[in-house]
Amino acid sequence: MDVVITSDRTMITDHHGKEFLGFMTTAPPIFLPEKIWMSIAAPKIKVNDIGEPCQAPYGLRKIEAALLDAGIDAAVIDPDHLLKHPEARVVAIGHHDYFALGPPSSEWWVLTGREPVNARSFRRFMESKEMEYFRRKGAKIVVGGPAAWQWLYKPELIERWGITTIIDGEGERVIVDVVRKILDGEEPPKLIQVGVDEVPSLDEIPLIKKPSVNGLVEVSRGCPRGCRFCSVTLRPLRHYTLDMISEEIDVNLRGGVRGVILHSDDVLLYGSRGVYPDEGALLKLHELVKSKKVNIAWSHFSLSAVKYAEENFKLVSRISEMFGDYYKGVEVGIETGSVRLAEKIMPAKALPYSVKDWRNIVIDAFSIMHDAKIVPAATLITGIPEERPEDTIASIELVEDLRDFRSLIVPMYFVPMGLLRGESWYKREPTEEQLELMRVCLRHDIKWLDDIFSWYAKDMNPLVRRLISLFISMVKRASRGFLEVAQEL
Amino acid sequence: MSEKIVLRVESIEKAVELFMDLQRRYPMRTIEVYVHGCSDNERQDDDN
Repeated sequence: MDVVITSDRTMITDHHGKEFLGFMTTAPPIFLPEKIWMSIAAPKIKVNDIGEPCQAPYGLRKIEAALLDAGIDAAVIDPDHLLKHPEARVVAIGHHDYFALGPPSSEWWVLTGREPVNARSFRRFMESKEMEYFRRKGAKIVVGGPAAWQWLYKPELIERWGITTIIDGEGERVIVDVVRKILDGEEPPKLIQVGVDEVPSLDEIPLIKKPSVNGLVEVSRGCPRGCRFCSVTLRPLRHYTLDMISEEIDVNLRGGVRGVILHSDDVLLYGSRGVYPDEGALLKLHELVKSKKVNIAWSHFSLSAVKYAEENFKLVSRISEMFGDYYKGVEVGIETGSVRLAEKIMPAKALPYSVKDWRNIVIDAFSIMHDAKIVPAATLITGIPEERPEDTIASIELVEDLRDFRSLIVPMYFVPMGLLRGESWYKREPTEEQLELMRVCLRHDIKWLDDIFSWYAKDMNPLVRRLISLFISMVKRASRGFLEVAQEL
Repeated sequence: MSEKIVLRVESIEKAVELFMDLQRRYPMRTIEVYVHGCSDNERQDDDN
């Protein structure tokens, strides 16, 4: 084999079939030894006789597919089995968060002062005997994925770990050129930003050949909203055809994956050319998934699309009912409760409604999802340079107004990129308002945790279920002191 | 169609510094930075 595609254990895992457990890899181990923490969040995954995991991250599967389509011998290989392919000349690595510099890892690091397990695990992997072997024999190491930017803040590690090339951006076209250069004995670029000219068109996006983690399949790429904190917005919007989606779901079904996570930056804009959800396209998409007789979840909805789709077509409740009477999960972005800040950083996030109505859009969308048995895991950003204390207070008030809606709300503590160069960036002190926002979110999450866990963990491995129950009760007990500070204030 | 920006520099520190600067200025363009092999910085596009 010429190319092995891999990553560390926090990536090459199925999180016990529970995607949400993957978030535990963004925190340091709390109350539990790291080994047990890792066994809950990122257990080893079943592999075949050549070390291929039975499921692998979708992004790595896309790179694998691009190389295979180009006639290059490549496969995703589990990090413990790399030495089954000593002849490989390229090691391609992808990651969501190599050094725990992105949210929410950076937030847990600031709050606890301790390095999250994703960064620890990645370092162990890069210094493993397997990677040492490939470095020694002169194999080229190519890194990419959504966290590729983080290498720019670690130039010393680019040298120490012998990184040949860093690809920042959609890599399906570029990886083929880079690997061909390496195999032909030519020097590839050290750093690559994939510009709009090199981004694959819909026809050039390869379809995965082997199963993705928990059945995730992409339905669209790009987002038209242009929020200032998000790089996805720089990419052109492309929607997969139903045939492409069907083919990828079938790959997962043949591999034994029983669920589908529809992924895009806003699934409710599937098939749309703007910010208005397309009723016909969304119904066809969900009828396709339903025809496969699998459970469904979604990676991301925008809250304005939830409100528009329900108020105009009853679409959110119709889609949820289509799949039966069980709770379904999705990630959503509240980002701020402050209209002033929303106008500055995400003026188009509320479209087709006015950004001045952002607060009501959020509340209405949460109410719609609550009634439709859709459980959002929501993010809120705090710490943006323009943020004033009154903006944070507006976010606090909004979270309080969401108390009756079944959901988890996670504040994302924004660390300005300029600070990441320093060794002690994580020693920043949140303001009192920011701490209060974290308390309000924690109180909200604790209120709903037992309810959500009772159905989410229903079919989970009993031992893991017990460990998580134990962890939740420890969190509740330990949170008391932190939450009481708020009551006294 | 915008042209690709290609640079050749001598050290990784310089490569990272220039790359980040170019990313800020040209977020939509393809940028390639090679390290060592050429002593002069060289840009293939002509509009910088």
